[in-house]
Amino acid sequence: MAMPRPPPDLVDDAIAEILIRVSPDEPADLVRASLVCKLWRRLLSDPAFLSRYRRFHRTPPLFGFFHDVGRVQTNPGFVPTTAASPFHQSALQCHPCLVFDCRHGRVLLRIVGTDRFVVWDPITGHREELRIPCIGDPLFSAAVLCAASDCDHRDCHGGPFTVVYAGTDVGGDGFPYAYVYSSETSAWSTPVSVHIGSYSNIDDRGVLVGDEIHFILPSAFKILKYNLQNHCLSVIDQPDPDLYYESVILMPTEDGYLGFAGILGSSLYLWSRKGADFIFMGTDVGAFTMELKSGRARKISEAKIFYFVVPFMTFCTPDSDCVKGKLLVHGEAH
Amino acid sequence: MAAPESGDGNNGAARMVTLISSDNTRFEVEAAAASLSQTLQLTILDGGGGGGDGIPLPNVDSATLSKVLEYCIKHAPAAANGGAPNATAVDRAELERFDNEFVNIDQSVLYSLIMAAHNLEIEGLQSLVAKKVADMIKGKSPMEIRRTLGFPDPTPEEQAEMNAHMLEYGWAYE
Repeated sequence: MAMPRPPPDLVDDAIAEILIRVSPDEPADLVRASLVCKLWRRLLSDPAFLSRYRRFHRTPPLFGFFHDVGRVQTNPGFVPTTAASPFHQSALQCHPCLVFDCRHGRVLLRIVGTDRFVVWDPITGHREELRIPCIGDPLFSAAVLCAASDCDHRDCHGGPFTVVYAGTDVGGDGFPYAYVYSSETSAWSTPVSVHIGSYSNIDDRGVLVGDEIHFILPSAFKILKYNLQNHCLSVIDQPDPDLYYESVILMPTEDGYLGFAGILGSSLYLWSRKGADFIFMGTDVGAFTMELKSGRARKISEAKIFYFVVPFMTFCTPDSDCVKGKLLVHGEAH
Repeated sequence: MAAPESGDGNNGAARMVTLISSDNTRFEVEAAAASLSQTLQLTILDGGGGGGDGIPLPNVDSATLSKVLEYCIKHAPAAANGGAPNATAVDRAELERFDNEFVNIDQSVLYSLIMAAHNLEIEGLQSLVAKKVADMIKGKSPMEIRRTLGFPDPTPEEQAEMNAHMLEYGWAYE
């Protein structure tokens, strides 16, 4: 009796086993699946199932990237890397903003012409403004990260967050310093600084490895390290400063160490990086993501030059607020 | 038919068990292969399924069972090595090739396999067939998914509900 047994006759568990294996790379797949029938809709709107789904897929997929065309007064752009995306460019047409960082589902922006940062959760639309601790730095970096304990950072919306600000004391002794902001106290810490022997700007994103955020100090050929537990700064030397300068990047490695990459004598140049397993490349024929494991490159934009690029990695499941496609347009009206 | 042997028959020849499909076909298979099924494993550990007894499987027909056993026989050596942490890249590539070929089958067989893998609790097979169906969903509209997977046509109410949802989630259909 080889009767075809279409999915409506399959037991719920078997359907769940199928749906959990739908790849998160294209969020539209899960949304469309949720419209197939009542049972599928019920599963795909069940928080317990979706939480299992995120655990099953472990690393949030690349959703797109935010970028500044130049460090001028403009709105950052968002380039989706998925075929269909609930995000719309209009989401970013609020105040002129500069994008600084993105981690754990949050984007850190600076409102141009003000002393304000905005921490924005594109999935829920939630925005929180905070004062920049120190204005007058021509170049500084800032990092945003989830501050919830016991969080696996696959779905940390709405919880407490931390912002780390790292700058250089141009008017004073020229040493790098850092502040840390806690959303729980709505306050910045007192600053800490470290002696590095020479002046260096900080202008690239921080890289989080364990409890430490790392920033490149390009003209000092050093790496600045801020420890979140101890609230202290230290420096480590950059490898081979004679060989690698300018096109150098930091990245977390798969096994939880700090990775460093540089380009030597190639027509390709790295302009940003990040995530567990891919880097961004700007080339003469457009922008690409390259999977480090397979070496496979995928074209994501025709544009050749982006000044600053911040990848956005997140799970976007049918329970996400942004999925209904209304949130961002309204959510930005400030 | 193999001679009946005791539960701990570990002297040379591999221990065999007999499985009986819903349409009364008898399959003789190595106990190690049949034990990939969590459901069968306990019975087999208790010494069941040997000789003339056989284990009846009233929910699995012979065509499906033969396919299930093809999978179990192929995967049993790796499973015996505790998921084969020492397997060579060649072994793994061969299993992957086998798996890809294995699910390249008619949809009705695929659904029968889903049910059998589920009933018999064969983890690897459950995962393999579920992934195959998940991949079939990729890039399709809800209607296309329904057609691909053999759902009946939606009722007018279901259709209206789908249309409403499609409006709400417009970006997913651009």
